[in-house]
Amino acid sequence: MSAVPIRLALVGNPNCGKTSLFNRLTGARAKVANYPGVTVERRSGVVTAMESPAELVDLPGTYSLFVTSPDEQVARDVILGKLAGERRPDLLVAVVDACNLRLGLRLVLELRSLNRPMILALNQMDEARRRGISINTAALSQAIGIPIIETVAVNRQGVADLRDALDGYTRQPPVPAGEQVITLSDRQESVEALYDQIESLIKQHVIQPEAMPRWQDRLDALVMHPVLGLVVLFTTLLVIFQAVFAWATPVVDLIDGAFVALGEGVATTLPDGILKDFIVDGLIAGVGGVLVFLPQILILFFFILVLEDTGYLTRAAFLLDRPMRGLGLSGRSFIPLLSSFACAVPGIMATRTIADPRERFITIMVAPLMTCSARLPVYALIIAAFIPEQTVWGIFNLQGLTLFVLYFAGVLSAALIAWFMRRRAAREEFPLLLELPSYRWPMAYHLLIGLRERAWIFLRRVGTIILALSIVLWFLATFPGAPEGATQPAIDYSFAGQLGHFMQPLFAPLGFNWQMCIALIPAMGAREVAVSALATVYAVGEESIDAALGATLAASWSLPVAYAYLAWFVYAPQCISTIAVVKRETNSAKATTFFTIYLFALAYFAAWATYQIASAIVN
Amino acid sequence: MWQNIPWQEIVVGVCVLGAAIFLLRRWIFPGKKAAGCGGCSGCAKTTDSGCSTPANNSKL
Repeated sequence: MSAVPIRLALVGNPNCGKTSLFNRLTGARAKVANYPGVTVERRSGVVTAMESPAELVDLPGTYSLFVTSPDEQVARDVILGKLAGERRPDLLVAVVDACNLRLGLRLVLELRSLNRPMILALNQMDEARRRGISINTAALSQAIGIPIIETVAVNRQGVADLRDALDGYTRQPPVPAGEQVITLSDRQESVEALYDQIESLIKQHVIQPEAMPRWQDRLDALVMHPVLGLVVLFTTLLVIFQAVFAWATPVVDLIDGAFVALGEGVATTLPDGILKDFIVDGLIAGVGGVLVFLPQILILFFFILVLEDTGYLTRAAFLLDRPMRGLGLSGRSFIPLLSSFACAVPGIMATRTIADPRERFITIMVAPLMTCSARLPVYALIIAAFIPEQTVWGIFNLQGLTLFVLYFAGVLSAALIAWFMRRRAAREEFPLLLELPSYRWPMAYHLLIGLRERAWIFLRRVGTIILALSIVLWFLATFPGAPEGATQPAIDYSFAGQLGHFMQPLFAPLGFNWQMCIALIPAMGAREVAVSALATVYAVGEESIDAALGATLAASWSLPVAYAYLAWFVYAPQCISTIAVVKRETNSAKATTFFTIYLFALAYFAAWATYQIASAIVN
Repeated sequence: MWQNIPWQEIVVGVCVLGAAIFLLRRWIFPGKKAAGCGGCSGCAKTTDSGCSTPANNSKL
């Protein structure tokens, strides 16, 4: 047995099912979605149930070896063995969507010209058959000289055959291959001949139906209509935000009650002392304060995953392409911006799919304005504390409507800033080329993987960063204790209290009190820590933790202050990781400094304006 | 004798110190194995290399 495992690489067009196949072959649970651009870096795993060890690399989707965007460059460099520190794959596994054979074969024929060992996985065969597409795989395999395995990765069909084929390869020594050189002139000379060859192959070996299913065309006519499509999109989003509050509230209340009861139980069980204070005010108040928002995060992602898996989100990208072009962006920016609703870090990394450097830069600059899931606990806490739970216009929940407005404020601000940045620079037209997936029912497997992944990400953050920050903050809010003869509450004399009082004059025009100022510091680590920081600071400052945090805030803050705090969180780049990934992706200290300063300035101005206007109205 | 040991303070001190070291290692002294994204724990790292591919060199 060889000490060095055989290296296999999954290569194919975007959204052809590479990551599904990767998950099936390696047992991993990487994110899968029914839109292109999910994988922007290569990921690797070990193929399970193989006789010889084999490493499988999942590459970003590409239509050709002649690349236009940074993510495609990663795929090309790995295939050619030109990525530093990456060994060239011994065998290429070309994945082709059977429903989009023309585009898939273009890449396969380009790969074939490299004279490298290759297996073709013809994926989504079930969908092809359903559409009436019939492919003579044996004849096609013979014509192109590459073994073809039919697969349906989402339900494991053909995966065992593919694994057997890979196993067969690993038992044979790899064929040594020379260095490949691909130049642009090769492409110009060969592209027409390539398409002629593809048309000939399809004519001989594929029987295609005359037209797409009619119901899909009708649905497309509605959801991609320039006006009606936007109505459908905004209605869908409004329903999602309503559900986040309406459905989650009972579970949130249950978890909240459980943590309050746990705090009281521990307080009555443990003897008085520093350990009791630490567990009740530091651990339970800090971690519990954030953990209660898990149901809302899962409900939000359930809907996003359903929209992804049905194929609607790609339509939304096309729908928004035209209005986004008016702002200087395009539908290509849609997927990274959409990813930023989960977390700006993968969203910013997904900008590698954008070919136009200026558009990519602007998308990176505005991505953090999309409301990431870490802001949801902050929004949910303040909305629940200050916005009454009442119905408006007969159907809308006021709390859900407020959440929608906050999300919409981020989107609108991003649009305005993108428009402002773009109008200062000449632009080059890069047409939007996305594979339009067919509609399908969302698959329970994908939904479960997606929800499990989101729950795990959230719980991991709670168990690591949030827990650690809560502990440190409790320490800072507890020590040093009040001196003898002190007249103020003990927390005023603590490190955190002193720091809060030091910062407060800077934030006084925004209406923030010193407790709110303290919460802004650990929130740089993770935004949701603002919630646990407030919980800890108010818990340490109070005699007992017998009331939920929301009730404490409602009694301590005025309505304009609460609105100003929300406005701050809409804009502030309060996340070290986001700043780090901006530095990494732009490779520019100047761009990173600009990003940080402009967003903090925007947050300060927005919070100040909100506070002043709200105060004027309330008074 | 052991009853005089301030065990509550020791337990709390160890926890606070551990949390502080964890945060310092994460952000101030990340070491060689740190993810290039800054370790936000916001992405699903299903493999060792999930977030550590060498950064793209294109300067915007």
